[in-house]
Amino acid sequence: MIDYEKLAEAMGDLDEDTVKELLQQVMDEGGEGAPKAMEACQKGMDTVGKLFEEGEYFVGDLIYAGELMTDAVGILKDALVSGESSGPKTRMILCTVKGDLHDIGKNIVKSMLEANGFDVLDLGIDVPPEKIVETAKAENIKIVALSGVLTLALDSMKKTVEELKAAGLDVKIIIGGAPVNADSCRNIGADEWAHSPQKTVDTCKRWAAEG
Amino acid sequence: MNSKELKASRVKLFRDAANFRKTERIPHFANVVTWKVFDAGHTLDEAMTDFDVMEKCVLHFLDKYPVDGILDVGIRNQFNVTEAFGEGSYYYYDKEVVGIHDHAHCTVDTLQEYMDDPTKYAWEKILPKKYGESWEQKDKAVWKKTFSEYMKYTKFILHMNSVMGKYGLPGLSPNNPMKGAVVPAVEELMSNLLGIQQLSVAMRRSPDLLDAFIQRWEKERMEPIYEKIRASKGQDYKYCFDSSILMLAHTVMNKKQFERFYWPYLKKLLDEYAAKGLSIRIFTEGSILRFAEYFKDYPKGLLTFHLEQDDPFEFREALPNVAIMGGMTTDLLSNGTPEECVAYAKRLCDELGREGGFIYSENKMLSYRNDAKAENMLAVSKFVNDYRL
Repeated sequence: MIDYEKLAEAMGDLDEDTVKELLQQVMDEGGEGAPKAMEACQKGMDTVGKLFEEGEYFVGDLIYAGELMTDAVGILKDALVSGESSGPKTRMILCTVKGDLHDIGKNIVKSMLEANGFDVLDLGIDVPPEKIVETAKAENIKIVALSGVLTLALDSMKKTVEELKAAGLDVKIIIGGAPVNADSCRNIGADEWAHSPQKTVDTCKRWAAEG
Repeated sequence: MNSKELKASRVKLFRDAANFRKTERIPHFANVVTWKVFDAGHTLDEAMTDFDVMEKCVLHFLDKYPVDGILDVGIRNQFNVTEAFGEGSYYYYDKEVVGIHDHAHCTVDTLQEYMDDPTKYAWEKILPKKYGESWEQKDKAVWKKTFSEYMKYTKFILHMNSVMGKYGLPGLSPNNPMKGAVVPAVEELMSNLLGIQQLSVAMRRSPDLLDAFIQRWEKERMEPIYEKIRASKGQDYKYCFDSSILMLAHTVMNKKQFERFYWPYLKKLLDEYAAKGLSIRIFTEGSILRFAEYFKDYPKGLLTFHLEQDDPFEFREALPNVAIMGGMTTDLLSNGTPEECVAYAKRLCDELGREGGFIYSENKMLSYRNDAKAENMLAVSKFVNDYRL
């Protein structure tokens, strides 16, 4: 019998040994508990986000949490593929904008968004505006998250926002990364900005709920 | 004033500001890297591989903007040297961006192997990764070209140092790695050996291994530096500061990790500098304010923090004993008007510098074309140079 509360707690504590031991137990018992185990892991990731907001965890912990979550999905994968779907997810775009090759921040946000139930279309790094517009159109995307570390990313973000608007797409856009702030958000024309992955998750959840 | 006198007066100005002594005006340290290339009408691929073009860009900047110091006079990257030997890590992007593909030398799993024999590891793992498996068998012509490029690069450094001398521009701190730019163990792990991702994993998965690495680094690399500091005869007025540190690793650490892996060793270093009355400039990537409490008891004159993301006014309130370098944001320089930039520069000088303790600079290294408008840069440079407190 799996203790899902203990699993959620271990994920929140970033206790790798306990998380992996419990997940392995799920698989050893036939994998039927995989969806519940995944929910527990997601609950643990919420705790990670909260502890980050409270200042107890920092960026390195989020990176480690992302690694742990990836490993967790890897362990449960076979059982999850054949298990029940947890219902439709909100699809959204995430990428690092043109001219910028940094991906650590993007990957942290991705793992936290996925842990919170989003279906993230990760377009990668150095992504030109036209690819983002094209994907948003083709996939009927309503939320776009743009990441960047270099100051030049601000120019690319602005161009991307302009092209999304010029294409007449009804999308909410959040920008994130070291160089963004309230002023640059206004200048770029995005709907929201974030340094914290948790703020990105909370904002996207709010937008998803608003439909 | 001849160039030697000008340099000496600027060193004194920087030193006085860092020591919280009242100054007639606020010194301006230009945190400018490759932006000057665009401002001079060139592209990065032209300037980064041609020393003549780079020199023209540097001179264009120094003739146009009245600054008291500059971070880089075009000598930060030896592209031609490393590329001559077959490394392809550097990349250009539309002639506007130059970067280096990330390649940490170790993983959590191979750090022990590196520690067991760093030279062997470098020879068998790092060099083949950078220059190809057969790097030892490279053609003689490749070696010759590499050495030739290295000599050209060395000559350029010496030449640009003399250019700085002619312009009366002081160096920031001594280049001697035993005394000038110091690299704490965690910064070596973050910037060279492990990188952000693997350091983050290692702090959780293999903390004892990191402790062992740090202890060894302290013994082999830091102890000789402490000895040099102890033998120092006090502040060296050839430079603006006696030492420099780049702090980056704290940007991934939570407080417990900072207390375990960083602070005890940084404290030891700062205590050594403080005991000799030396000054140190710390460039802080990201925010340092969440660690403010650790620095609050040091005497004025020891620490100058070059701030990247922290608000300088908030910082002054939190750490009134620490001098501030920075203040002007690339946001304002790139999006504001000359009047807005000058008004903010005046506020910085008035509120942070009247009693000393402030060196005007840009918060981020100006690297890309749109990091600043030339008219804004010119307006604030002239203002800071002319403004009397």
